[in-house]
Amino acid sequence: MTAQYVVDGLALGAVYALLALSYSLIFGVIRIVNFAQGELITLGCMGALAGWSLSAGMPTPLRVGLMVLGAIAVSCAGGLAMEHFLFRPLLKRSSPTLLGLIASLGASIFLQNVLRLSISSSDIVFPRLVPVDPLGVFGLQIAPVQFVLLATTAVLATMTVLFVERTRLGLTIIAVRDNRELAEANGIAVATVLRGVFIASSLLAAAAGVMMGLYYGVARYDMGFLPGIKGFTACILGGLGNVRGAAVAGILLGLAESLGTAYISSAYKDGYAFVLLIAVLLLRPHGLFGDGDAR
Amino acid sequence: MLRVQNLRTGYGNLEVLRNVSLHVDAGEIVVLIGANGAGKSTLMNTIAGLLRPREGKVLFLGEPIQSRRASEIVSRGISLVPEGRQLFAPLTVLENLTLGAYSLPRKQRTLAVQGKLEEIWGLFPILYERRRQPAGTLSGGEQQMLAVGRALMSRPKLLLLDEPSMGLAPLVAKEIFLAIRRLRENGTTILLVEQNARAALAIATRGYVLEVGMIVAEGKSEELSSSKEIVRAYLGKDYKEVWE
Ligand SMILES: Nc1ncnc2c1ncn2[C@@H]1O[C@H](COP(=O)(O)OP(=O)(O)OP(=O)(O)O)[C@@H](O)[C@H]1O
Ligand SMILES: [Mg+2]
Repeated sequence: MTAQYVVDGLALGAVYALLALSYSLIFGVIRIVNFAQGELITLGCMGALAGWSLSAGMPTPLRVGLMVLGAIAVSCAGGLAMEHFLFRPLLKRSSPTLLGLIASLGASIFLQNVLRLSISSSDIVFPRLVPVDPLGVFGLQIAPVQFVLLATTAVLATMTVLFVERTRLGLTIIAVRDNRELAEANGIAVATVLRGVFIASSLLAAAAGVMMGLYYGVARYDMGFLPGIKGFTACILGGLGNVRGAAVAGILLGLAESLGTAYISSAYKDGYAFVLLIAVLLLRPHGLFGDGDAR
Repeated sequence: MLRVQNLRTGYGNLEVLRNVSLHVDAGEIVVLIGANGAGKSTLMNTIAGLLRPREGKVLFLGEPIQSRRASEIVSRGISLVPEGRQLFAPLTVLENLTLGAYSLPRKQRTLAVQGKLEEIWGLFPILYERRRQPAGTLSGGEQQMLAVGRALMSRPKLLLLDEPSMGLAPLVAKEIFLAIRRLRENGTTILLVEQNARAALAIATRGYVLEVGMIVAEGKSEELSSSKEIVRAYLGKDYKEVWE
């Protein structure tokens, strides 16, 4: 049955991979742990729900389009607001790392409560647009939604890596990440790059939010918190700021969680990620694929 | 070309530049010498727009630029090589240079990059051999060459060089000084900060001496090199003389 758990782990890992990428983009540039990153997932999912319910009665393809649009709009608005009100002022301070940690934790709790009070404190049904009933494929039970998850992640992860490593804007991201002062002296508008990074990161979080909605069939005000932390874990595992590493580590994390739950105990479901993290950091302090200043 | 008037810059409560005025004419190499902590880098960074002055003006080609953003100052034609061989370590030599042209208008860029690259390969042939190598893996001298090359990519009218020979072996430093002289022959105006005052005065047209945030002496290179006080404070004796 191991193969079955591997398939389930891959699907879970796909969500983590999206999150890890989303984290990696921002963390790479601002070097601040953003605890509110998970809330961008929630915002994306809620935005998708809003797009869906506001378009009730319209043809389905249109509704799906509005759903995607809603996810993108709400998540990006959240990301840009974080950049503007939280991180930009912090980056001008003398110890942004610690301040950012605390401030973003505050922002996370604040956003969760705003969502809880303004929308709902319990589960909201997310439309099952992709069938979740498993089909037998080569003796494995694979749900179409798992295919969608893996395919979406594969496409988005490839696009992110190409974007960072092959485009001009991507080069400026690496430049700002490596040496902000020089980037500025070089004529790169650092503020614009930061905004671009937050938008890209919010897009990935929005995708993760929609995928989670499709997979679990529900949305909740705090749905992003734990996955957000796991995304951060994967981002560290992969080597901070290393986009390729982050994607692979996300998948590994999903596998660890699925196999750990199956063969050890489901009681520690949320703990396997951190065991893996500690093990890797002991053996390879810069992460699985990091070498300190990797791309 | 560049005129700095009554400039004051500081950090927090610390006043670093206290009323600095100087000018650089087109075609000159002007050297700025001064002890550690005199405020030379602060001055360079203020001209480049990385620091905001509290008072005073920076005029470039007759226009005030002291409140402009660094990215705009680069587009206007001032390029800074910051202190300490700064480059983008994970990017290759070629990528570092390409990024140097970031501020050029889109239409001119491709052609300009090609032309400038040729010029830089001519100036520092070793960089051509290393072009696909991450900048972080270069030797100190090569890194400084790359730092200068990066700054040249934006086609500056005025190049600000902050201690380009710092920490380099004498032969490598000499190579950098030769390159600076060739840049000037090709029409680039240069403001140069140097601890290595003797070598700097040898290639400069004029010089200024900065002491605790104030200009205390200025003049033609030959005048400065022969002034007793400056010889004592900044030129010292050659190591050779000391050792013998
Ligand atoms: N970012 C900063 N924050 C606070 N003080 C600073 C900062 N940068 C420089 N200083 C202070 O300003 C003064 C001038 O520094 P600056 O770097 O301009 O000197 P310098 O002439 O370039 O010295 P060096 O020859 O060592 O490069 C020093 O006293 C330094 O401690
Ligand atoms: Mg200095």
